[in-house]
Amino acid sequence: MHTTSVSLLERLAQTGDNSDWQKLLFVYRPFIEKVVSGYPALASEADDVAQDVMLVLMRELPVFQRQRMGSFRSWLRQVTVNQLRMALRKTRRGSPVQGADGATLDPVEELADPHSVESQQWDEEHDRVVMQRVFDLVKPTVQEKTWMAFERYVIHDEPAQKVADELGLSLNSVLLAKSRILRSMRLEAKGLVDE
Amino acid sequence: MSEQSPLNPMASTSSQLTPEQIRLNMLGLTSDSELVDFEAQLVSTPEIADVAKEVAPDAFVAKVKRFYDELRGRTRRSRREGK
Repeated sequence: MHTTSVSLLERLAQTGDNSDWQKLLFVYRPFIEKVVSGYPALASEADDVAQDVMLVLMRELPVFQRQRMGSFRSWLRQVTVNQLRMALRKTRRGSPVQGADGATLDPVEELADPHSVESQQWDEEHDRVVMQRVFDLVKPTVQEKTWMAFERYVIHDEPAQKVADELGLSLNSVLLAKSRILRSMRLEAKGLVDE
Repeated sequence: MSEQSPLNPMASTSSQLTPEQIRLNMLGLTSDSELVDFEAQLVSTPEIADVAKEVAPDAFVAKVKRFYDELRGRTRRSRREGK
């Protein structure tokens, strides 16, 4: 766990350390691949399109961090939409289809629209993969009993004193577990999920 | 000179600890230098535990709670189904 208060995005924008890029790839590449696979015309090219998205991220992230217009989640969606458009143009199989009411249904344009159902699903799935990563990163950095205290006190709202008594901890340890673990989680998630 | 916490020389003494300080600590919104040693405070301010209990989760904590349970449930299901 990082003890400094510099988030992953800030580190990437400042130093571009290789291990930090690996972290970003680990979190986002499977997510992007899954999204691309949802487009039948691109299912066999999900790997390549995801790779292109990650290359844009590596190139443009420092600029995004400097300008910081909007959330990372929305920016990533826009980068992905752009790569999807390019990929569909190449395949020539991305023609819009007609809906029941005769309106044009273009799934990529649906994703581009920040108010669409597709965008809301993107936001939800994005936060889910980031939070999974946050849990995976923070859990191994604390003792098992500390994590149990956090889980019972914070996640399941059990009284702190009861948790302390049953785990053989002091009340102080339970309160500190909550404070420290949440702080670590916030740091890992900083800039990635909207608060 | 006021008494200082052994964990953090910059921390407030129990008499200075405010509900807002407790709130920030309980939500993980402090830096290392602002982390309160609750034990030192609890000796003379036992109501800290009560104040801490009342701290409402903010949007991030709500997200942690929701996704933690959901993801844990998903992992359990995957294990059960042998995936």
